[in-house]
Amino acid sequence: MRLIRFMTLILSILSVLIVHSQDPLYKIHEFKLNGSKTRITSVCIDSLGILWCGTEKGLFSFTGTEFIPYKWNDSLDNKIINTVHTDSKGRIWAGMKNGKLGMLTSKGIIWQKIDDNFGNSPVSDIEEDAAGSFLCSTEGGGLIYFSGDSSIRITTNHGLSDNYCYSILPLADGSVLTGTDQGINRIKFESGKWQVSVFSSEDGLPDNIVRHLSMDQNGLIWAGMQDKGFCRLEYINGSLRMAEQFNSWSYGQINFILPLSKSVWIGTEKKGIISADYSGGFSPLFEKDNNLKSMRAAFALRDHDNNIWTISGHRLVRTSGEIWQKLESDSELKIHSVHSILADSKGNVWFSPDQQLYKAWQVKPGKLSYKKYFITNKNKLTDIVSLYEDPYGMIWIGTLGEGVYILDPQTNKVIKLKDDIELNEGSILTINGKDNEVWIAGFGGILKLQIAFEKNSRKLNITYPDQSALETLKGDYIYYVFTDSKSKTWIGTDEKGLVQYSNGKLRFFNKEDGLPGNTIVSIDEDKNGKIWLACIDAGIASYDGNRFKIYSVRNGLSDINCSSILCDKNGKVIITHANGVDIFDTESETFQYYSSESGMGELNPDLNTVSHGHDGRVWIGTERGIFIFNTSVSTWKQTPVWIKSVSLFLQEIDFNSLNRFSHDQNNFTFEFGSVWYNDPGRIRFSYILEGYSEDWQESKDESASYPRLAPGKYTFKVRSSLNNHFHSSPEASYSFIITQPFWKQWWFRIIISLALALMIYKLIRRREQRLKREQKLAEERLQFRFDTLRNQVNPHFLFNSFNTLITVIEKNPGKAINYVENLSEFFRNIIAYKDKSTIPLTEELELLSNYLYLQKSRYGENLSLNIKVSEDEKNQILIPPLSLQMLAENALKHNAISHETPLKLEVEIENDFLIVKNNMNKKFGTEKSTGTGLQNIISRYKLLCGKDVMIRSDEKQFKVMLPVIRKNTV
Amino acid sequence: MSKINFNLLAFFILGVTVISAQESVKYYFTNTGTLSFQSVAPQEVISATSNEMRGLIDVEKKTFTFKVYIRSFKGFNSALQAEHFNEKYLESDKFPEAVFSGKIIEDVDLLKNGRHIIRAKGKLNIHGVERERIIKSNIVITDESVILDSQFIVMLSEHNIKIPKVVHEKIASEIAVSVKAVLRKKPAL
Repeated sequence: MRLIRFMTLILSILSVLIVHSQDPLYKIHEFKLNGSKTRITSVCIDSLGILWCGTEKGLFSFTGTEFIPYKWNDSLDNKIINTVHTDSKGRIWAGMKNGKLGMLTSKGIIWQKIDDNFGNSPVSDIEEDAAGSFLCSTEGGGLIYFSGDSSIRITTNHGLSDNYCYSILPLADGSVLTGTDQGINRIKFESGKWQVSVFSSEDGLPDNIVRHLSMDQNGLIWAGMQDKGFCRLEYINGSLRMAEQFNSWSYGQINFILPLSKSVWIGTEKKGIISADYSGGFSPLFEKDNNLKSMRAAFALRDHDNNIWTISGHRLVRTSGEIWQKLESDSELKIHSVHSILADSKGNVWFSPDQQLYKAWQVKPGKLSYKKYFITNKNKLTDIVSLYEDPYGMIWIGTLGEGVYILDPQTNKVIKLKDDIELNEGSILTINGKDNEVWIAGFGGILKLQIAFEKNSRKLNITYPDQSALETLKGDYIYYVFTDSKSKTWIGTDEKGLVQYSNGKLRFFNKEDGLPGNTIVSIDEDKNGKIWLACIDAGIASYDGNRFKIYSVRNGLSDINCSSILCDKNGKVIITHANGVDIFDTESETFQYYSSESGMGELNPDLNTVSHGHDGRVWIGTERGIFIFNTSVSTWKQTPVWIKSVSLFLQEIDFNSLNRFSHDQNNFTFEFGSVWYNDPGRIRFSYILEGYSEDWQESKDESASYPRLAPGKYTFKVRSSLNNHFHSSPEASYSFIITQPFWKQWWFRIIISLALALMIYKLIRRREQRLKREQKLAEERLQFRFDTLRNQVNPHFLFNSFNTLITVIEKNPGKAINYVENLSEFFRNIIAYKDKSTIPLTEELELLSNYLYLQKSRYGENLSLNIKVSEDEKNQILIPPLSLQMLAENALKHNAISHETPLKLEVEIENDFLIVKNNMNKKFGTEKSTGTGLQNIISRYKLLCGKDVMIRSDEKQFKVMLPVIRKNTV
Repeated sequence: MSKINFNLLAFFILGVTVISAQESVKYYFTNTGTLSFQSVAPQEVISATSNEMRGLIDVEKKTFTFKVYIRSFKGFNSALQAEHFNEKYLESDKFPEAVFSGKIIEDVDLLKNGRHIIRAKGKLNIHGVERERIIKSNIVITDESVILDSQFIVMLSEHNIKIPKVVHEKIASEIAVSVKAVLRKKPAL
């Protein structure tokens, strides 16, 4: 056993009772329109969480970085807004200085009809009563109730004590309270009448001018007055009763009262915002900021994240409300570079900036009182880097190089723990424990102690159990020791990973076991028993007894370099970094961030300068001061997302009603938005156009474009998140269809196919017909040739020809040669023309004259031929070969030819017909004729040109009309 | 006999008149109220006074109206200054009067003797620009009158009174105003 020696040292305590305030964090946004400061009169939040500002120059929405005007056409005088309000359906209302009341819609403002002559009194407040009726208060015109198009004005004529009304507070029983220049009025429509009752100075109200009425979470009514501060009233059975008055108010006129969960914010005309607690103490906020400490605080509002917004002139101030507070240095209290911090069980907070130790406690809302301690040894001041409160209330103090001191806060006596030389001369980075076990560790290794407390003498007995199990850790750098609810002790080392001590055995975990890194600087346990640890350079991890689950930048952690990790009672894990704090929600597995945008940049905290107070507040010590996080007030919300606009070829369309487009309307741009006022720069979007691609795109941009979309069905979906985790984020979507161009529509295609089929069918038919025709023509020709040939080889013809020849030889031998020449010429022509479908008329006429010469030799002058066709026409006209010859043959066949009855053949052209006529002298006993010759001609003409051959015959004349076929038509 | 009766009658009538006069006090009135203002600037101090402020207080309704002609102010450092005051800054030809009218907030019986500090809340119209103001005043109610005493600040910018930059050192942007008046009882008009 080692010897234990105690040394009592000189301890000096300075009791300095300087009160100091805790302010929320804040950020000021200035509203300037065209460069000139414009006053904001009130703000409200719509259902999406966007902040709307009513100003002297109209209505603007605030994105976190800029003010976007709400478009509305009106004269400047008519755009002065006095108050804005969000109703239970999420719609925004504006009450104007000119007395009008309007509701905002996407298509403009709809003004409420007020049908009386009062109309000009400025609107001061807008509310809905318990039954859902709208009403507004006016400055000089009493109250107005609205219902559809009708309205009723409640004034002094109804019993109102004054027509100048400042604010409305609706009550659960359907009545409303209004603060006026002459006290508080209670109005209710009951039994067919408007019942008005007054609560004024006669009833104990300190000041008749009641500018604002608010109800806190306990149902008490706070009234803010012009001159006498605020008071609290009870509302019982329809009447008011004074509950409490505060006579020491020196802050002037009250503009608003905003009750929060732990305090009440009171905005004044000349003294900024005063924070009151529920026991009635109050003190001003923002005393350190020259802009805010004496500002005219006109209005305040709590948003969906529990930030409190307030306005002063042209300044829009976003504050962290009750979520974050900051303890700042002043001339006496230096709070930079806090090296350790401890919230003890008695509601005090101990912290140690350079070489000093303070104990602070709350005396008034926002006001702390503190005591300063000096721990000296050999006149050497030293930094205190670790603090621990044991179960007996003793404060263990670990120093940098001077070992461990133990302070009894009741007696203010300090003793120094003297033992292990290495440890004592080293730096004690961590002191922690559970029940009667205390662990001390630092740069010189680790030590386990056993303590026992004697109540009466207030003596702490310390013993040292067997340390052999810890031999392996001797000389190692140890950053943190933590004993969990199952009495296992966890040790965070430098480069040796995580060590678990249980039942005298050590168990080592390092990267191979799943740790993100081997230097563990901080450890804590959440309400479900999971162990959480932070690495100095590798992010954080949780351990459920089996596996480590790592959270790094990929999972949303803002920085892999961590200084401490702490689990609160509400399932949140707080991680501090050099540049801010991350809050991780174990249920939704998402992160929220607080960094420079919230006033928490450049924190540079030391390791493990965090402490969880018993009241639920988390104290964080940093280089810049102490930040206090109120975990019970902080809310958890997903960032909302909405589609701002859909544009077609860069022109906005009404996407609420249009979702069907033609094929050439294919260039789409989507604009979307989200809001997170604490850090607008952190918002990330993820979107997809279903029907176009299969993958979600992540981006910081607020728009997505798709230039040439093919026809089809599409849905555009977008989500927003602060930390790239979109799977559980809310989603906005828009579905639409681009129709096929008509030439791709099914009905069109069918028609076209049918038409095409029809066309092809027709083409085929035509060709078939043409082929048929040609074939027929060929056949006819063949037939004709055959017939002609047959005819010509007709023995009768030959017989006649030879007979004629004999006669010619007998009568005129000289001519016989001509005759035979002509005969052979004739037969030669027949052979020559046999293959032609047409020959020029010239040639046919020659043939005809040939034939007739032969016949003339027989018939002499009784046969005559008259051709009345011009030379031109002879060349132009075409005619099937041997047709005229055939006709002449016919004529000879069927007519008697004698001196008394000569045969006159005439060929002429009339009306586009080649006419062949002869006079008739019908022969009796005509030769056998099959009629095929004429028929053949008729068929050939039909095939050649489709025209009919006409035959006109009477007793006197036989006329055949052949259709003229001209050269250029064939 | 008839003389005594006549005297009695006269006395009776007088008494009734007096009594009814007492009971029918409706207003307090003055047209000789004093309104002075002072501008304290680094290079000059300007002050002026009007003794012709008119004021009327309605006893029953607890409302009031106070008026003063701009041209009735005297006591400038020079005639030129008076001229500038009227022509340039307050434009008294366009806006001949400054008016403050409104109501008295406190529940005070204006017919009972006593001292009170009341707030006068109403519209202050200077240079054609109206502003809502709450002005604290001391009043002393005596048998014959109401003695009014009040001090307040008027910000020139609030009433669109423009001071050129060259004279910024000579004219303050905030003017201290002081009102003293004795208003006498007046029966129904």
